[in-house]
Amino acid sequence: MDLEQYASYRVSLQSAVKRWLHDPNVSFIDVGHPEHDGKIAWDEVEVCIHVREKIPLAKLEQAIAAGKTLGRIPKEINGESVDIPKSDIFPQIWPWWGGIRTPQNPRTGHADPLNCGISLGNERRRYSYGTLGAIVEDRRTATPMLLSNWHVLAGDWGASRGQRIFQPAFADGGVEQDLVARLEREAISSNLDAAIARIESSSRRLSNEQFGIGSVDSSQAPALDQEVTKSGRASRVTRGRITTAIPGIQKMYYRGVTRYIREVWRVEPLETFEEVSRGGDSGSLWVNSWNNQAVGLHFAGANTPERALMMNIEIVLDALNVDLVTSQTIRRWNATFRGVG
Amino acid sequence: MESGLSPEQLERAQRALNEILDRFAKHPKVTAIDVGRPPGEAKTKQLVVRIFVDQVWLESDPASKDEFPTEVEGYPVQVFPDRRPHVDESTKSSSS
Repeated sequence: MDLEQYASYRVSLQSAVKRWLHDPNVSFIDVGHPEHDGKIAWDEVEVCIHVREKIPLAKLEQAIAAGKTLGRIPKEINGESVDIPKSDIFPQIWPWWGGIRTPQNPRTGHADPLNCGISLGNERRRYSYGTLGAIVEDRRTATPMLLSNWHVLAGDWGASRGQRIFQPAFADGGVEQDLVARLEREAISSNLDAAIARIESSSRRLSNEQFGIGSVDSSQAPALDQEVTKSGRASRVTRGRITTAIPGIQKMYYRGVTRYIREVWRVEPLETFEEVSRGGDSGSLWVNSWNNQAVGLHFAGANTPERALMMNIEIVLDALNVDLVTSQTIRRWNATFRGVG
Repeated sequence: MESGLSPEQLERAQRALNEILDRFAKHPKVTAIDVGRPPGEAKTKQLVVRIFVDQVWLESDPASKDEFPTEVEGYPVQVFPDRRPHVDESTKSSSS
C-alpha cells in the first residue's frame, strides 16, 4: 500500500471510529480485506465495520428505537468502500477459560514437535500470522533457528534483535506461554524478505517435517518448469509450476517503504483456477515435488492472475548464513539440545 | 541454475534482461522484471523478458505499453498487467 492510499484509509478509519465505535451493534472497526459471500477477498482492502448482528433494513427503525444500533452504516466513508462483516469479538486469549486446547486446524495449534508449515507470529503484529518455513542451523554457532519471512518474524521497521516470536501466532490463539524464539537476524537489508529467530523454548521437540509433505533435508536451485509444492499455514498443501527462467526484481511495499526484492521466482498453478497461495502462507518453503528438496522461500502472492512469489532458497540461506538440517541432526538436537534457551 | 537453456541462450537472455533492468527497473509503474514464460502459457517453448506493470495504469491507457520495447538485441520483450502482489501475511480482526 503506498503512502497516499495508506493516509486515505487512516482518514476513513478515523471517521468510522468516531461515528460508529459506540454503536452497541458494532464490535470492531479496522481496515482489512472484505468478505464477499463468506470468502475473504485477499486482493481488496476496505474499511471494515464488524457488527454483532446483521439487521435487515425492514427492522432497522425498530432496532434503533430499542437502542440496539445507532443507525444504518454507509457503504462508503470519505471515499473508501465499507465492508460490514458479522463478527462478534471475544478475548483473543484462547481458550479464555483456561481449559485444554482443542484446535480444529492442527496448523494453528501449539505444536510439539515444531513441524514446518504451521502458524507463526511476532509480538508486534498480534493480529497477523505467517508460516514457519524451516528449522535451520547457524553455520557459525550450530544453533537451531526458525526460518521465515522478515515480514513475519520482524514485521516492522522498528523491530530489533530479541523480538519475541510465538507459535502459534496470537491471531491463531497463541498466548504468552507460546514464546518459541527470538528474532536473530534479517536479510531485508540485502533485499531478501527473510529472517531467522533463535529457538527459545526448551520444551518443544524440533522437526524438519513439512506438514503434509514430509521431511526436507536439503536444497537445490529453482529452475524453469519445475513442479513445486509447499505447506502453508493458510492454504495448506498447494502445488504449482515455476515459470521464471532467470530471476529479476520484484517491487514490494512494506509498511509504506518500497523494496526491490531480488532472486524472485514466479509459481503459477498447474491447473487453471488452482490456488497456489493465500494470505498467511508467508514464510513457507517451496520444495521440488519430485524429490522434496527445498527450492524457494515463499513471501507473496496475488489472485488475479493466481500466482505465488518465492526467493531462491539457496541465496536466502547464504544471506542468513544458515543451512537446512537433516533428519539426523534433528534427532541429535532433540536428544541433546532440549534445554537450549 | 538449471534453466533448460543452452549457455548461449542463457547469456543472450541475461543480456536482454540486464538491459531492461537498467532501463525500466525504477519505472514507477513497473512491478517486476524477469525472464520466463508468458503467464498462463506454461506449454509454450518461447521465453521472453517479462515486464510486469500496474494493471490499472495499463488498462487506463493501453498505449502506455508502447513505451516499452518489443525486443532487445533480437530477444522478445513482453509487457503484462500485474495486480500489485501482497505479502502473504494474513490478518485476523476477530477470533470468532
